[in-house]
Amino acid sequence: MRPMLLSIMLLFALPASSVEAPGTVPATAQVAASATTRATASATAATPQATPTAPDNDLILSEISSQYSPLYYPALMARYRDGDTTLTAHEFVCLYYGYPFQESYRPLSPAPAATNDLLDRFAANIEPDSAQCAELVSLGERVFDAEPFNLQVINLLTFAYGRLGDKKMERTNYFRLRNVINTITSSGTGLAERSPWHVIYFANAIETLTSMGLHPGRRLVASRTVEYVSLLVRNGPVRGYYFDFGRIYMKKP
Amino acid sequence: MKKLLFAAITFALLSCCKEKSELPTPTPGKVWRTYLLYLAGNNTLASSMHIDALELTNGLTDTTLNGGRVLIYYSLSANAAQLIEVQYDPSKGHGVQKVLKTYPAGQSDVDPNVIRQAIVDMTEYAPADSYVIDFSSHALGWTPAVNITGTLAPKRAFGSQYPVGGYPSGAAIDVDMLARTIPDGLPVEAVLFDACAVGCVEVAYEFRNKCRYFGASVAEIPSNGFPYDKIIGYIFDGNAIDWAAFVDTYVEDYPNYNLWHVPTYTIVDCSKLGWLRSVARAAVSAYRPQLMTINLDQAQYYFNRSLIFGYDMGDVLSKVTTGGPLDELVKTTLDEVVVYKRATETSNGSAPAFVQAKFSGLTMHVPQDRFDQATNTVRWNPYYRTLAWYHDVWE
Repeated sequence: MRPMLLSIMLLFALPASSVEAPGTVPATAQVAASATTRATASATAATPQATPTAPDNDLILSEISSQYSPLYYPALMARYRDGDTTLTAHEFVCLYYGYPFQESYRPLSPAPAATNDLLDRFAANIEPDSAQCAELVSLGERVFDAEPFNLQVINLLTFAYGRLGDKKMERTNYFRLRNVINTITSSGTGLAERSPWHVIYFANAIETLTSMGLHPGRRLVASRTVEYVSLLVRNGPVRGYYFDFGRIYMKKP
Repeated sequence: MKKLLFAAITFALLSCCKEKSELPTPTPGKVWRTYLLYLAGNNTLASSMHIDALELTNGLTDTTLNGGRVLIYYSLSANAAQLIEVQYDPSKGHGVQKVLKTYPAGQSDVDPNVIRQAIVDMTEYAPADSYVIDFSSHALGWTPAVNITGTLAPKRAFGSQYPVGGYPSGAAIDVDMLARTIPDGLPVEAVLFDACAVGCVEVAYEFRNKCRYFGASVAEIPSNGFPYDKIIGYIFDGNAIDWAAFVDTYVEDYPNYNLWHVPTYTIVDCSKLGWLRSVARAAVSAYRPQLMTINLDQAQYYFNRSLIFGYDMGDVLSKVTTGGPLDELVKTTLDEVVVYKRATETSNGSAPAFVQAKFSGLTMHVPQDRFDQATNTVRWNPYYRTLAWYHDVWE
């Protein structure tokens, strides 16, 4: 329960600069818009797919496995870690949904101590000074190494770099954050059990909703791999969204 | 008595099992580890490298390889280079060389396609679950491989060969290009440099996605190079290489050569270079004006020539962070990234005064304005700005 609460807390507790697209539009507004219309992607970022498409595991696995493919996973992950902002929407699909095929993917393991340490530090002081931001960055980069799709951490890095005045790294992390969320919200409509949003961590579902400015409520099992996450406050006519957690169970111990 | 005998046998079996379990079981069709020594020796180092190859061959015993394989890319002249395997010959009690492939005459050892081909050949002739690649030649840290217009700065980033195959005398390869010769995703346990002054954070950073460990010296390396007969065993001792023993053996071998400079070697954990990048970036961001104006002549450096392209990273950063909030963070991060480092206690002869306490294991360049000027020796900055470390830390 704690990680979920903390995720909500973090994404709402951050000062405005942390969730704004560097220099321009508030992230929450932009991500929410792209999630609903899929037409407002950033010019510099990957353009989301026009039609929501469920990720094809077999296709992704074959694309990321060939050493001679430009989508070869180690090369793709190296670009992502290096902060390459030329990654395309399809490359993000391969990155995010290809991660469950990597040895380091352990969605059911407890969060590393460093993750909790990072989030605890921030929760204890949400107005860090420069030195504290430098420490958050240092710790955050370590956690990012171990958990490259932990959206809370990427969000926190965006915030800390922004606070340090490091626009380049702020933009880099915002690019990662926005495109991972775009990847998730392009994997289905989220509005029906047969068209869920596919995530590779339980926390990503909550983080996606909070990034849209929504208030996630209870999780209800809809099928073997799909759950319905209700909203505490309706999003227009929508009372909740469907998420597919199937990839998490691929690594069931 | 019987019980005692049973216990002794059990203990012996357990001990035996323990030793074997330290070596990984290779994937079918592969060995657990292959080591490639890339001898780019078509230059003044040819005779030393010939001895290196002999050391490696004669140093093999029946227990050295533990099922692994040793290859040498052997190029000591403009004649055709060869890919050689060193195998243990029980009848001789040491290794023997077997030619696996002969390359076309006239190819350049610093051509990225040639280096890439040697690495691909390694994976085809001796496929393994884990590789160690050892680059041996002349080198000059991160500096550019091409002549810098209007200066006398040398061009030997890595290689510096005699003319061959359309390549002029002194041709070398840039460090970023060298890193790119290693295919993405190849399971490389370590990239080692038996070459001068490559222990720069800038070079290590170019290799960050190419290998697990990066090994190099911040200072010059004698022409004799590694004592291969003594260090080769550590490469095949177990899946996790005993880096302390490897480095100690190397550095402690130096007194045999009556040298005049500071013998050093450093092993870097590449998976942690991202941490160092973020801390260095924070330090540069906080102290850029100070870094751009400090007197670098007061900082620890190692290269014993008039060309100084790198200062001790810990020493330089401490000059601006001391007493500030980043001081401890810089030190602890450097200590984490540098898995092991060693330097002799003192320096001899004309080397700059070496202070052991200042030795952090890596050097870094500080792109002060004066390195933009074309003096008679250096104009490093234009090239420096093309390196990944510059992009990720200074920009």
